[in-house]
Amino acid sequence: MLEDALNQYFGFKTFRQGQKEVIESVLAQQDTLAILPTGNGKSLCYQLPGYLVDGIVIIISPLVSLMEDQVYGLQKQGEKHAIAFNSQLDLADRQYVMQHLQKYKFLFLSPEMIVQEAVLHQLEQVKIAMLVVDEAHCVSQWGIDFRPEYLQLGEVKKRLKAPVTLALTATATAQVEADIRQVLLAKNANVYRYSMNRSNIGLFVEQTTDKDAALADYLSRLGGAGIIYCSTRSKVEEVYNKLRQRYLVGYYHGGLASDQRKTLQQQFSQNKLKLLVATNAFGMGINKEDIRFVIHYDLPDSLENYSQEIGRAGRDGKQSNAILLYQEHDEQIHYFFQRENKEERLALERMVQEKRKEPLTPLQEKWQQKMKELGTSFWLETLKRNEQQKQEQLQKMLAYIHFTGCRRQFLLAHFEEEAQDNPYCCDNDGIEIAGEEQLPEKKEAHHWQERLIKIFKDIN
Amino acid sequence: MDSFILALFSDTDKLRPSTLYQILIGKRTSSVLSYAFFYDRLGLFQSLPQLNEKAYQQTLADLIQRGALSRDSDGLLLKTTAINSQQPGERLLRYANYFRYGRTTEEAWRFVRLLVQAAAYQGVTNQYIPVENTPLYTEPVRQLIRHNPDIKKCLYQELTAIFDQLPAEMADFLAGTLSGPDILGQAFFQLLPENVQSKPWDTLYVGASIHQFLTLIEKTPQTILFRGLSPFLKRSLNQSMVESRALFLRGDSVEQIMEKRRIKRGTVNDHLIEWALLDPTFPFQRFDTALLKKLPEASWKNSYQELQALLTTDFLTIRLLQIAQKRGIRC
Repeated sequence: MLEDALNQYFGFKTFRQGQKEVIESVLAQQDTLAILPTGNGKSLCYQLPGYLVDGIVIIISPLVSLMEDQVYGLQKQGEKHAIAFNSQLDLADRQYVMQHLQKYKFLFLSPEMIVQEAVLHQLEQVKIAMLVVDEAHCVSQWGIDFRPEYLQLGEVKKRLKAPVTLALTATATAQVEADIRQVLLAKNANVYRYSMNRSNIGLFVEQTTDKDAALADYLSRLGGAGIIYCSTRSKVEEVYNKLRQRYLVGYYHGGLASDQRKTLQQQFSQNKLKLLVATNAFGMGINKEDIRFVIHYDLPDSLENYSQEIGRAGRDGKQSNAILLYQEHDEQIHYFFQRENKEERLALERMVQEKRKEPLTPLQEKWQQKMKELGTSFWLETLKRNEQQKQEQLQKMLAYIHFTGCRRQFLLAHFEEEAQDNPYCCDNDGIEIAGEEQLPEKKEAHHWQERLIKIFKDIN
Repeated sequence: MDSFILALFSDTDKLRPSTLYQILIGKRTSSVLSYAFFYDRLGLFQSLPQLNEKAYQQTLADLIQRGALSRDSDGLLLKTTAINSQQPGERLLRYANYFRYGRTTEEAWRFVRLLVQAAAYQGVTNQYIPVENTPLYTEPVRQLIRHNPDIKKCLYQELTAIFDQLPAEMADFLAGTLSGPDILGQAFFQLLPENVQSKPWDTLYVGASIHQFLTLIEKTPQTILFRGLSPFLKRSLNQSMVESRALFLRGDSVEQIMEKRRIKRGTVNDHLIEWALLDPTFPFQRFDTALLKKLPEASWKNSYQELQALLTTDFLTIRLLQIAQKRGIRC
């Protein structure tokens, strides 16, 4: 029974919605697309079959932080044979991993890394249990995060003798689903799609003229662990500094070294921290069940990202909250980035048209590379479409904030889903946060002598 | 930033702000390195590689305007009234040694963290989340544990001895990052003392603490910590300099090194000067140290032309003699 294996490897007695069907499909050697809501345990869909099938599991992941999260999640379960093969490893480490592939059960790679000839060549030499493509919507130009490198994964799959492939995503419209199937999956692939609604998460929007006061007010009422998302690293540190005297709080962003990020993840997982102030680099694969709230201090750029981020709350199914703090003009920062992006694209277009050679910005260099790989007009069109999409997505996000009806129905409609009855729904439906007053928390401080004694306790 | 820039300057020596900037971002020329050494700023070499020149100049201009620094054609002088006793300042800058350890500071400490964690879990359980899982750290830790059955006790004793010699605040800081079965290490920023919370003191404090730790480790070559950290300590050296040093120690002259390594005289000179700046045991006796008697006091304040006229010897010898003089070596 599959449940026995689930209990043996993960200590769970039952599967969550959709997990069993997806795993059975993969074990039956069927290519599979799983569209599961954030917080539903997508990772288990490849981890369990990974243990039941001989060979290495290759997981393609679009971001370093996502890979680190996944490796950390596996390590928490006692898995010692997982590694993120990415730019964080130095050359000697990469060579070591490639020469000792048989030592690993789970190998995480970026799409850029796996297309490298030397890497592909080594992967051809080992037995592959399955190929997993995480955040598979990146393959589609119609998805929220199109990554052209994903288009090459079809070729990669062929080179690796078409192992069973599992494509995972939380969001896929019909068009995106078609693109994923076309690039990554066999014609007879199974598709499992489940609602993105997270019924235990209450939805709140707080329009305020003083975010710090609003944040302090919510924190005084909210119990349990929570994430506070900010849009930039500097804002993360600023908010952290405002809270650090009163709360057990840490911060997390891409500017920290990977060991520091891991330390913070671990503290948060083990409830040594109540709050984590973070950019969206935190949490994609976070496997902490009892996050009670997610607060957005800054405005997210899309409902797609917002849904993913709030989905980190309440994985244990208990009542949780998502609170978005909005201050007039919050959207300006996104307009600014959109304008900058457009100006860079237009400047590059002019250079191409007039065949001029000028110094390029780092972003333009990246685009130029893509033009070489994928064709100039295709790539420029993609960029234009992307700009358009981003504008529309931001407008949708703003519409959600100013919406006076049921926020959940608004979200579901955005994801082409039908309305659902939800007892704990949203602020516009009358729910409130009425927690007990939270007291300041004390930090532990140790002198080095005490600390060493604690660390090496059994030698004394 | 203001308090850090102020701490760079002295109230007795006029310092050149442009050279200080080159020191901070790590412009590796023998003249920048030597200047840093003579004015006790070598430990800050490449401590802030991302420092923006415009921002640096603007801060200087503001400080001059406010009267905290005074300027003349020789450089900038600190006005003593500008020093804030609450700032970490001079003491912290003295502990930093980016010149010696800057290339592998973080890696070295990450190794220590994994080694301590792995040793602490020995005999307790092997079901734990290692703080590192890349082979750069895991392989040497595995080897050390395999070859040292008593590693837990040894590490406890070694760490106690090292932390005991560090300023207590730094020892608490570094120890706070370490993990064991019943205690979880913290991130650097969570452990910083209040007076180093702002930039760039926060990163300098981390660097200076680890550098002090490594300095003490280098004095105990019989320890497990030293053996484990050795590869990191070696990698933190300029590898081209190490090659030239090996040839020189075998008895080769500058010319022979040039020929064997197919490098220019200036490059060999740079390597020997860098070595002399790093190593108090540099073989100064291979040069004409009798000339030391002729060197004026604090000879680095004299121009090269003046010294050449006085000593009638080559650039390399003059520079090495100046370094010997600064180290207090007499002929």
